[in-house]
Amino acid sequence: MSDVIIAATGLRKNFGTTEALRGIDLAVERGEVLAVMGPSGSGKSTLVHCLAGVLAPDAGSVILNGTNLTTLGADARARFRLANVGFVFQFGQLLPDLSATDNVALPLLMGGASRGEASATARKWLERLGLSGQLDKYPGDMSGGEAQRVAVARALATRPAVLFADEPTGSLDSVSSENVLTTMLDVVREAGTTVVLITHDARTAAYADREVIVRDGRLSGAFAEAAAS
Amino acid sequence: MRPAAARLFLFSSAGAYRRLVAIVAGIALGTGMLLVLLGAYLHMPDRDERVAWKEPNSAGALFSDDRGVPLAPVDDTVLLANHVDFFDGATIETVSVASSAHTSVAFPDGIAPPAPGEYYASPAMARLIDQNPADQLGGRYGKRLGVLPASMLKGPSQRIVLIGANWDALAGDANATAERAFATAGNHSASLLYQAVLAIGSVALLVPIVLLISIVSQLGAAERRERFATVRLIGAGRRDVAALAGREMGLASLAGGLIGIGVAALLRPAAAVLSIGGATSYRADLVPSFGWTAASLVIVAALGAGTAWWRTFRDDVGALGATRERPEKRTTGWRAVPLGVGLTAFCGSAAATRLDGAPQDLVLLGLVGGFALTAFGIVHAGPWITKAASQTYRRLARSAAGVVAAGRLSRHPRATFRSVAGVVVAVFIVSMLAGVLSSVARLVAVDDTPGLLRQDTLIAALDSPEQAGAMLASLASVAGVREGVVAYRTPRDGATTEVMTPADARAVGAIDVPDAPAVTLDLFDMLSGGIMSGSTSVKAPQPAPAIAGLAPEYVLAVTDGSPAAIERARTAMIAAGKPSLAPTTRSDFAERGTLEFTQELSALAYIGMAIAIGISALALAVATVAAALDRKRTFGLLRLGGMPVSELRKSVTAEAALPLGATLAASAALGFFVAWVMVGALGDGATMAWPDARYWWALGGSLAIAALAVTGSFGVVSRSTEVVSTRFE
Repeated sequence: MSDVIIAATGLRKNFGTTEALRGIDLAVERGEVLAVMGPSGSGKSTLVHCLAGVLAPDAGSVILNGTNLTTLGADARARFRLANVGFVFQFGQLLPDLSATDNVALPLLMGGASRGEASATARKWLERLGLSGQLDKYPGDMSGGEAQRVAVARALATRPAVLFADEPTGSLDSVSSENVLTTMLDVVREAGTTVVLITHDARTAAYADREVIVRDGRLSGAFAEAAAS
Repeated sequence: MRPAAARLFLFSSAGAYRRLVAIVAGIALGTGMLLVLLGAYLHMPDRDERVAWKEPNSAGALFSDDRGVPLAPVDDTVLLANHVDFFDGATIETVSVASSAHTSVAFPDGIAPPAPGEYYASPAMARLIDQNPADQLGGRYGKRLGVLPASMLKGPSQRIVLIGANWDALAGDANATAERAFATAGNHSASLLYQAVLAIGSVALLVPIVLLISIVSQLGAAERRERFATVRLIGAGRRDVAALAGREMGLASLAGGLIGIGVAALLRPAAAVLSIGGATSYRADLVPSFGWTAASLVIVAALGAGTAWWRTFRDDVGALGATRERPEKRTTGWRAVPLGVGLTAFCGSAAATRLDGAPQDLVLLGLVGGFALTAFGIVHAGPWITKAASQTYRRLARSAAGVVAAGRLSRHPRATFRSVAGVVVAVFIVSMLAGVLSSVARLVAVDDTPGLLRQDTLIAALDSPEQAGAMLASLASVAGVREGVVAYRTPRDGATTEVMTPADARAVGAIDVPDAPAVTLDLFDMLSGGIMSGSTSVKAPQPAPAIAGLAPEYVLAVTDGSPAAIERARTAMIAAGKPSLAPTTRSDFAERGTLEFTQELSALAYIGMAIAIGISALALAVATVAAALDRKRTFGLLRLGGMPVSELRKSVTAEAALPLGATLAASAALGFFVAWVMVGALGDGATMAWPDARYWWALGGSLAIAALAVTGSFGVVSRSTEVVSTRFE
């Protein structure tokens, strides 16, 4: 029996007169790696904003890990994200003034962990992602791939149910890109974390269990039927 | 870049207008204050020149003990003597003048010297006389002929009377000089210190203005990163972008400067009521010349343009929008060296004041130089103190907000300290003055100490023995006077003691008085004990032979202690005896000079502190907003990841509070330390006490304003980091 962790039904979102989402139905299973593809302006970012509880849709509902996000206020959604969701972006996500350890420890501290616990957990995740030599380094002193792996460690440190990764390798060369992706996916599969991966790159999408394509605010073609099933 | 393009670039959003309005307002306020200070500085010599008439004329004065002083009135000369009088704790300048009936000498504005029994008063003095019963004040001087014109006064609050005197009496006055013409060039030595303070204040005011411009430029660059990047992308060079920002700030500074002329006009009435050098100011004395005003505007505009150009050039927004973050130079303990050298020089020089034969010029240079270096050293060491405090904070931080703030502080101690540097220097100087003032206040807080002259007793030095009878007779009918007694001159030449009856000695406060026909005692010690030195012990009265045949030297009036009785007694003694020195109580003696001077200086320091705090608070608010906008993306992503905005606020608050708290505490402690060294070395036994309420108000006020500046920026922090404003990339 399938275990759906994200269930979006009839999602609609407008920005002024622009219809960004025009009724999307999507289900993602626990532990699945889903790639969301689509051209620029197709609405995939808006879709992920709604799925993660960053934006409230104008219509439809999102149930993530058993919680209907559309019934929560902004503060409650923020608390929910902290406990259930991790994010990795293309670049600029690390705080330049904090060491790798402190960057990873930050969401744990936000979640109420003690400084000692947070630092120990952060070191453990950094070591797991092959960064044992970079614990006290600052983002400015690391390579792009190292910084991205620190970002992955930070996203996973709170053991989120879902990881949203938005072009996580978009700013990296092909070698670093593959290195980051394989490391990230190894770790999430081992932890049983669900991943929603936004990408333009078919090679990156190939790492996913399943792909959906967003076009003009809708899931397109056969993918739509598969996605909603 | 063509002006039309620059205009499109600079003024194309409401945010740009708001920022420009804030810049113009800040610069207008700063320039307004600068122009007032500059005017006061430039007109300080004029104030001295207007009161030069009462000073000995170096060209024509003949001191009365010189040969050649006319013993009888002559038409081409007047005798002039400066003294002080007291009323209800206030000091009054009295200038006595003696002239012939047909004198050819006239005061400025053609005012003829008053005859004995007549006087002129300054407007402030005339008001004081009119507001009080004649037997308490007006009766001392005789008939008022009119008020002295502004051309003879330092400022509107100056309390001065020009009194007609008998030639014979003044010829015997050691203070009197013979003048054929009045001096027109003032003695500037008294106002040199004030000029130095005003000059330092004027220059010091430019520092927070430059800091403000620098921080606002940073904010402008942070707000317009995308726009700068677009301009770079379409072909503008790094210098072109810097030139745009420089031109914008130069124009804004010029506009602010021009409005500042109006602000100065609004500030002048408030500034004019501040006492400088013993008097408030005429508004005209606070207006700089056209040339100086124009030069100030050019300097402000050039500083604005130059600072913005440099700041933007240094930030170097690239064509892709990213600014290259320039790591700060490493902050080490070497930054504290100037502070250590300054303190060593100051403390060493202070210790040297106790050594016999120490070269005075060198000691003074060490004190002044050490103090200046200490003040500079605090600013120089500020980033290091901030870094040290932030590293401790980093180890102790338990929350996400604490970790974010400590990370920022320890990586950018110079930038974070810069926004609070103005407040830190102001607090140092005010703490030092408050410490010194507390010791002076303690000295002048006269109370009834056994053995010293009673507080309710006036003592008058006699110019001639005959004055004693007239004074005693007059005192006999004054309400509130309990006793009038006489102290006699000790027969031995050079003796510093007086002779009194044992009963009279006890009546004026002496203790351990032996039973004898008469006793010797030191009345000057009894008057000055605990004031000119920290010691309140006086020599015990000694037995003496009988008083008969001795000449009266002092008359003392013991009153019921009420202010009215004391002033009635003083008025009666002056009116009856015409002594050249006004009768004095211990409180009057204590108030002379030092307290008034220190209070004036501390008032200026408090105002300086208020100005520094005002501008620094603005800088702090702008710096807080700029720091948040600089990290708009990372803060936004943190909020996306679930960080509540309250945590971000805590972080922003900690980033401002830590450098402010750490360096403010250090500068206040150093200020009091310097005051303690100064009082210990120069105060001859004086000790410090807790500063008065004004100090705590100023300190609390500065913290409150800083808190207001930071909380005022919260709205911008919240709006600029809203999750919807942070795009997924």
